[in-house]
Amino acid sequence: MSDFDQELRDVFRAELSAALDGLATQLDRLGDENLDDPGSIFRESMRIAHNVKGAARVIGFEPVADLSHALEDVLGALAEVPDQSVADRLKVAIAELESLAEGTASPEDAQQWAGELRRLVPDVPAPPGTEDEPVDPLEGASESTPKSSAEESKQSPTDPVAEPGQQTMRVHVDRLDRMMAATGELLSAQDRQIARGRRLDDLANELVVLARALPSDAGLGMLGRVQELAGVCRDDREELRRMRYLSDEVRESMRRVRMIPLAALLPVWRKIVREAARDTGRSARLVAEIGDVEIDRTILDTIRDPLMHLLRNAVGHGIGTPEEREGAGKPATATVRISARLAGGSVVLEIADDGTGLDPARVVEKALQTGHLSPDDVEGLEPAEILDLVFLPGFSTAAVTDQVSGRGMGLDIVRSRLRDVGGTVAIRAQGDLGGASFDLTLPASLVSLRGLDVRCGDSIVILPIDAVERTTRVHAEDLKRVDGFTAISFGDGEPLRLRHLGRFLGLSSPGEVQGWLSIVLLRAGRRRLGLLVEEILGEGDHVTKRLPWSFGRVPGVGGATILGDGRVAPVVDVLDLFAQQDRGEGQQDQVRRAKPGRQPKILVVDDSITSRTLEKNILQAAGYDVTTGTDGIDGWKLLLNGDFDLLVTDIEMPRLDGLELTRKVRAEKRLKHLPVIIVSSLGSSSDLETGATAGADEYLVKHQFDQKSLLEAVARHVS
Amino acid sequence: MSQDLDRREQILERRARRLARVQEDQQRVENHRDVAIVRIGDREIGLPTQSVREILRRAVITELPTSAPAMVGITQVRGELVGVASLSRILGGTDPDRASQKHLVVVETPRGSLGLLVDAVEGFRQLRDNELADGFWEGEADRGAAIAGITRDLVTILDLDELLTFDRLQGRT
Repeated sequence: MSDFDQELRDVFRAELSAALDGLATQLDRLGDENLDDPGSIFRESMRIAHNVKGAARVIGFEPVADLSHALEDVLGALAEVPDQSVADRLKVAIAELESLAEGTASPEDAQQWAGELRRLVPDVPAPPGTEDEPVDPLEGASESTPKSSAEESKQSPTDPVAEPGQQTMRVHVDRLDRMMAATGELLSAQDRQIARGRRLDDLANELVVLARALPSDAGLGMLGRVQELAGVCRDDREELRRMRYLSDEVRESMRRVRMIPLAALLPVWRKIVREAARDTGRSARLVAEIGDVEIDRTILDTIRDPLMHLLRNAVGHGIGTPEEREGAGKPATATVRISARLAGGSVVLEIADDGTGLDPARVVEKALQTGHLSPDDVEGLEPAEILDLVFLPGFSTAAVTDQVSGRGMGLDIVRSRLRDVGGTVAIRAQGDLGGASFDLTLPASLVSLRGLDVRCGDSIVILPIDAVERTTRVHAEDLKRVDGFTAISFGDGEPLRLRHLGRFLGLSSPGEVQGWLSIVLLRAGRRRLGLLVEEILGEGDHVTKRLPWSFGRVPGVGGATILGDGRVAPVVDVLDLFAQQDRGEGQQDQVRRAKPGRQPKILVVDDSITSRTLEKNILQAAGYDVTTGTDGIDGWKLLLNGDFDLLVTDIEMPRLDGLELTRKVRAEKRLKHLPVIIVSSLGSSSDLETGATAGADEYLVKHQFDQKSLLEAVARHVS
Repeated sequence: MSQDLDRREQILERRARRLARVQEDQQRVENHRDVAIVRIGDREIGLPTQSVREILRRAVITELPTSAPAMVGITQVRGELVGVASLSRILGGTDPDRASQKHLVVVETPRGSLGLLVDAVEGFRQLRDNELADGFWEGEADRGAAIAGITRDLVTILDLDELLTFDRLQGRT
């Protein structure tokens, strides 16, 4: 299939999905016994089926075209002689069309289903005005079909909600992104022009001063010209400022174009709740309290599947069967509620049900069974930590599907998808409806960000301003080293551990901090994180972009932005920084008891628990103070924040191998003289040579070394 | 209605033109290939020009904290963020000297754009199939999947789609 055909197919699939959602919404209305004009519903549904048929024919998708044609015929007949009792069978046809589009059903299935549909309303003549006119899938309805009075039936779930008479247009997201990028570049170019304009102003003013100092005749002539020049520069700068303001408006308009009302997804959510209830033999209704909350389209696309998962599981595992509910004095039909509100620059979504909620004791029991918890871990667990266990991979199984939502892998992925867009998810055992409640917090817009620009070493880094509680300046001499941490007694009297932001992120940073520095205090809920930076440059609005595909996920970095001077600056993922702090990365958590004299401190880095433990035990028994790292990145962070006398490292490790770790040590000013011993299973002469080239002082082959070899090698390099 | 028909005609016409062009391209490829010759250290590498989008001299590269061994940092090209990798590291070598890597070759891969740091761009060549050396490698395993061929004057021609995969950039292959 050529790229062009594939592109058409993709467009058609999106159109089909939107059309089927519209069809489902229409057929839902047939459930209302007090309908005034059921014929209008069938007519509108027939129009949708007609469009689908035409679009499928143009791209040669015959099975879909055939089934749509049958559906169109039946709906046309029903428009003349309405019969609401066939609604369920018509809804099945929607699922059949979806199967054909996804390729999970065959052309033979399509023929069989088409035949069954036609038998639904027997001996019905083909309705008038339904010539077989192919419809351009890129345009939509043909003029021969009856116009609909219901706006929502023309809309895809992610079209803007249009007022009657208002025109809408579908635009590919890539085009919006390109326009946004061009607008961002325009703003950057204007910023540079404004900066040059200021410089021109200064030069003109200097020339005025010089001209005044010249002898009268020459001076007067020059002065006039120079003053005119200064005036032109001023006017030019004012004009640039106005253009900048207009460009800002354009960018804001572009940003608004990307925003989609959550209400556009309501038909999809209702369908999910309906299908989940049908599939599980339960009864449920969806209540939506989302108002006119809007969210960035890209974010919405990312959370679409997680939301579907949470809704399905609320029905499948939260609400209980009708019998269970009636036994508990509840209505047989359960309520699943989705609500949304704005909180600053974030959207807060809640999905709650009126089931029995989550029993923390059962969660702990399950965690012990699955090995996610050991008996020693249980004591001291906070209630929120217990509930958080349900987000662990592989936690939930069928045995507890009445207690926790869905398959364990699903909730783990839900959290991961939300993290991808800078969002969070938490669970409450009992919300205000009585059942469990999932609380999702998401940024409303991925595109623009108000940030605090800071300098870390030679790098400029952007911190989201929403997370910044305060900033202050401090001299390096006022910083204290406490148990391996840099710390300060902060303005409110509370001590604060500090991390150098550049080192925390793994950027090249100065070995020693000196002179005046700035502290940025980040806050997320009750947690605080103090960051040391070289300089705070100011606040700015930034167009944030995802990192290129070649990077994958970068710890601590949520994206990047292009500065006014054309440089790229990483945008910090604040939630990830807090998560790293929670994991104790880069920290030395143990308080060391003071001992007479100073034990040499050795860092052992190996991803194998067995090797790491063996080497640690050997060295500790010999009287060394040993810290361990689980891989190259872990080891690097420990080195940057610690004070070691020797590094023992494996080579083959995830995230950063031992050779690269050794090279980084040799390239870092403060560490370049640190002795490095490689202990590896790679034992060829070229491996040894590579280790030496990387800068290792000793190379021990794992299957050859013994306790004595390691201790002798260490002793050669530390006193 | 006539608008719909016109639109349909346009779509079908574009499809026909696209199909015809694919056949022409295939014909040309069978006869020769165009490569950009770049140098890393003392080694000359040929990059298929159909993948080369542009060549920049001295791009401003921002460091990113990544463990991916091949990735050097990130830059922007007319508003697009582009990852920058060291071609030398991708091919299993080390960077002799970052300062010597003066040129950035921006290539298009199935996954998106990528910048490759090289020491120099030597020029462009049109290679006929009979200019490639047969029998240089002892079988497919010896050659490696990402090598399309080698010329008689020892210019290695790369298959960039095979070479520039996410796993390879992350050091997993």
